[in-house]
Amino acid sequence: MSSKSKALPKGISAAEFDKVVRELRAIVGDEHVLVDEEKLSAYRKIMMPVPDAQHELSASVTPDGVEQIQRVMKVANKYRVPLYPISTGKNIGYGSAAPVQRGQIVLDLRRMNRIIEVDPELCTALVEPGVTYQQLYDYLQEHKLPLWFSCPAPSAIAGPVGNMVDRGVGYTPYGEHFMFSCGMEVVLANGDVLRTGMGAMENSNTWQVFKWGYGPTLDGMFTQSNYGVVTKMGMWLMPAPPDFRPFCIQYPDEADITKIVEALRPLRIAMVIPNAVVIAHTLWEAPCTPVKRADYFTGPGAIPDEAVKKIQADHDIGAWNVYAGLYGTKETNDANWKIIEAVAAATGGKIVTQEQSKGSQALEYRFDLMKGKPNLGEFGLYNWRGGGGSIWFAPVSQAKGAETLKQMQMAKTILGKYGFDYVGEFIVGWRDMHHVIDLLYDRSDETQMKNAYACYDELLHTFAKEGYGMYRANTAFAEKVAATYGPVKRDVEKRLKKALDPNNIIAPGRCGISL
Amino acid sequence: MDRRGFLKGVAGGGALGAMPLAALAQLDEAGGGGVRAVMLVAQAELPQALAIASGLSTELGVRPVAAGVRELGSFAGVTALLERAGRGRVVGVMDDASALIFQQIAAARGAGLVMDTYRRVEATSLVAFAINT
Repeated sequence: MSSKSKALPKGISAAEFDKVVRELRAIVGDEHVLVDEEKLSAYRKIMMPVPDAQHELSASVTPDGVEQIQRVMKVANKYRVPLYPISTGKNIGYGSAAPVQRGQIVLDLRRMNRIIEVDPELCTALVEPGVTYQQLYDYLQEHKLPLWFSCPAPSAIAGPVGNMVDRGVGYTPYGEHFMFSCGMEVVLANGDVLRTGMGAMENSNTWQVFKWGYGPTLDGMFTQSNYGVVTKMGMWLMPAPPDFRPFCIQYPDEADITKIVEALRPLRIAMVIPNAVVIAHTLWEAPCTPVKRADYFTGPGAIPDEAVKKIQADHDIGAWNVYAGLYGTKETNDANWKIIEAVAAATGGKIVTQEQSKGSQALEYRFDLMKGKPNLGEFGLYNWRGGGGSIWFAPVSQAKGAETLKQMQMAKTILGKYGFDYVGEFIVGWRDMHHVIDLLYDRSDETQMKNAYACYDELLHTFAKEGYGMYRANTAFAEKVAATYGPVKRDVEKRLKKALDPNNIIAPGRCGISL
Repeated sequence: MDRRGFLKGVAGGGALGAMPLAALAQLDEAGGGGVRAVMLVAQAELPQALAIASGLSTELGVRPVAAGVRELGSFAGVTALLERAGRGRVVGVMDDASALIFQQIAAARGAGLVMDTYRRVEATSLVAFAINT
């Protein structure tokens, strides 16, 4: 057998790599170790503004269970080959399925797609990494279980384990996914299997209901890191409320963001509005409506404000569009609805109810997401510029109006300097906001590629100077983003890596952590 | 010219023409095997995509499937198309969002991406791709 792989792991010869492949095939079967270029091509597809070669994988291996992963770890340690674990590999805009460093072997967990348990009384689930939100949704429907989960926008194809491990967010009251996870199973680099929280205790039946266990809580260490491979995760499900009342409030001016946030923060903290509120800019809504950019602007550079205003007027889209919902009984929602109406009236917002939203693609997909119904509506964003380029720039801000306006203006200025549009939204946690900007560009245009890279770089460093850090980052910028958090944190992370993975075999470079 | 070189040539071939895609659609599996059955999918709402598919269909002898944006934008819709394709090659001509969804769902089912190209026909951005299902 001769390896066809052209992107060998660093320091590994072709002959050694062939041995690795042979040993991996003995564990998982020939068909589950891929080295052929065409078969690897799906893993290779990235949307980041760096050459494909930078994130080229050497092979993929697809185990079907914990025992196989343990054996794969042994091989990786023996030859010191790095493994890059993915669950469903749909972290689109943050690096997709491609490894953080060239030559890594993708450890694809998609065959581990078992829904191990759903407890309808305690409203919990235990799932493997290959389970998709769509699969879980279908399961709940088939079993007629009145339970909802929170999912991110690409939910129909993404999965809860991968999203939680990357600390993703969704749009229901359970939208902070890591917070609503409960118990993990992790295969460590030495093959040990750790169950966090109550799962560490034999015969415990509280693994999915009590997160903390005894002693240090370790779960967070296995998110946005490379200290182990998460093979099971508990998650809390939400009872479907008797009455769900989603709504949108549209605001006419960009500067309205200040009063929107000031008005909504108290409602969010007090949980009158219990879900992760989204405040989406016109240009986030437009592609999902759908509106064609070329119908309004075909010149070079960023779309002018006048064209954005025209889009708002032509398509009845706000400068900001607030998405939230009331979850409760008819009586509680009736009471809270009066508060929402009062807030909208006092701040100059126009309410759009579910009944009024019929026929609007942009509103329908949002309203579905707020009840955990998977869809792919947000992919419309990729039609805005075309050309297959997208990177998410995602700084955190306080939930204060002045802060959000400042971030928006900073981002818009820098994006405009490089010829890109501000396509952004704020997702309100309780006291923070995830400011998510999709830097959309044409990846087939070399100039736009260079500009997109430079633009992200400037955004990152300008925001960091102001004390704004990323909540999540794409793999091409992992090292740079990690550097913005300072040397002490990084040193601790490195020491942990050395203790848990001395041969540096699990995703070296992920989130900037490596030996 | 090796296979990858050929594909690069196709990808860099200028305007989206029928001929390179037709050649691609008929390309054998690397190293042998017969010609794969081809399914041609074009986005129904895009006249440019339909025109290209129409040109291809004559050469390939297959009728193009015109799929609506709702179908291409849903998990169930794309899954049904892939089921219909069976084991073979799917050549798609559609907008960026639909192409990405199609490719990602196909990839989750183990399909290999043979190529994809991004082009503009007038102001419309189009993706043409070929996958082995």
